[in-house]
Amino acid sequence: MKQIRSLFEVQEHLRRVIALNFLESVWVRCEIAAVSRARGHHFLSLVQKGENNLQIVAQAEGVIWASTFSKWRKTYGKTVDSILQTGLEVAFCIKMDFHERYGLKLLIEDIDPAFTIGQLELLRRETLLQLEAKALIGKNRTLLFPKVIQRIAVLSSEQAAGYQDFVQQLHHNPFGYQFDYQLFATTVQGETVQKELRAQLQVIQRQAKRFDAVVITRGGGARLDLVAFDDFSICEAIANFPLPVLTGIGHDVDEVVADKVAYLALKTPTAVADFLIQHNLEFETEMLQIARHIQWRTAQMIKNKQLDLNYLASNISFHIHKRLEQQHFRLDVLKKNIPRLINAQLQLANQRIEHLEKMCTWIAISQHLKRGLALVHKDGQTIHSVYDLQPGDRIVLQLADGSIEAVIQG
Amino acid sequence: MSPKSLTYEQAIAELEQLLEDLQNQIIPVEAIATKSKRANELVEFCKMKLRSIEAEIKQQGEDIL
Repeated sequence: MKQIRSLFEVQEHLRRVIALNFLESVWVRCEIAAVSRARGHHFLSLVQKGENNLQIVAQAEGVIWASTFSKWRKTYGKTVDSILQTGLEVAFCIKMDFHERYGLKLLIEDIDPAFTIGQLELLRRETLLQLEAKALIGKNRTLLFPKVIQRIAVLSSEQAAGYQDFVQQLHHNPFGYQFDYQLFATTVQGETVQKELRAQLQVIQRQAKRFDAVVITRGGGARLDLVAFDDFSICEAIANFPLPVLTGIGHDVDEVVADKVAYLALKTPTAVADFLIQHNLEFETEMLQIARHIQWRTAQMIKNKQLDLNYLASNISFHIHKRLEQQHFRLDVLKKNIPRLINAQLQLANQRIEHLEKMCTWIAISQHLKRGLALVHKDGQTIHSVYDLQPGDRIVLQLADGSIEAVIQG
Repeated sequence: MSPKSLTYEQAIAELEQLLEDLQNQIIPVEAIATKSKRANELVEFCKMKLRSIEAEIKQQGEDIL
């Protein structure tokens, strides 16, 4: 005859078996599949995934009582908040608690934050190795960086202080540069961060022509909150992105892997904004220099043309003056000739008169000669007085029909 | 012809002709003084023309500056 036991009996038996076999707490390695918080208590769904990371091979429910949690807070600080996130690998010290009515519950008594951090460091190293193997580190940096960055796709959480800092800094640039940014909102923490980041990167990529660069900001937060930026698929997307990606994820300690694949990694969102302003300022400065050079060159060219023109003008002036000089000279020559030629004409008239006068005299004399009078010449001179002659002088007597020589005898 | 309606070149041509006549021809005595007067008139006219042209050119130069 089969024995029928009450449920309580069975459950009680189970409780005893468990209590006997788990006298002490055990350290358990698992992944947090879900977390909920109520009245300071944390209720966790703990899982272990299979080799392919898809299948769940083990699952259990755990609880962290408020009293335990506040103890942790005192011991480990805020790191524990970052660790209690879905998707993270954790190491918990667990006490098995089986209750006849409520079943098995894992009472989480302690946590090993170093384990999680170590796991993340492993993930980080693995991502780096994978990126190196695919030659993705520095790939984004081979893109041509636009001379001016104005159209920016921002990947951030809208409420994040880092995003506000970034926008504020861009707006209050002292040079009055205009920036056209568009927010592609993502969650800050949790398991969905990776998925949302990947999805939003794809959204931006589809409209890449509308943007000059992508800025990923976060601003503040514990190192463990930045897990998504160590994720291989995110880093791969950044490395292969067709636009330069700038990060301002805002963490002080060490770089996240995303920083290593980005075009440029800066400490804070504010630093990214400053960089963009500075970058545009450099372009403007360069433009101003070019403008000044053009101005200088054109002024130089105009000056040279002016010199040419002045030379031509002085040449023209020289030739005009030369022409005028020539005219003056020509006139002077003509002018000088006037009195000389007029005098010559007057002399000619005088000569004619004198000649006529001589002719008149001669005609009068020849009238006398025809009447038998003679003219006496000595040495070519007409003699008017006997006292001008001496005995022996040779004279010429001029008569009406000719001349004859004679000698004075006494 | 009144010198006022003459061009510079016409005046110079007349002057040259006048001087050539004085050089190569015997001028009636009464005409000598007339010719002399005309020649001096023509010289004065040409000088005046040159001076006014020079003044105009100088003014143009000053206008450019």
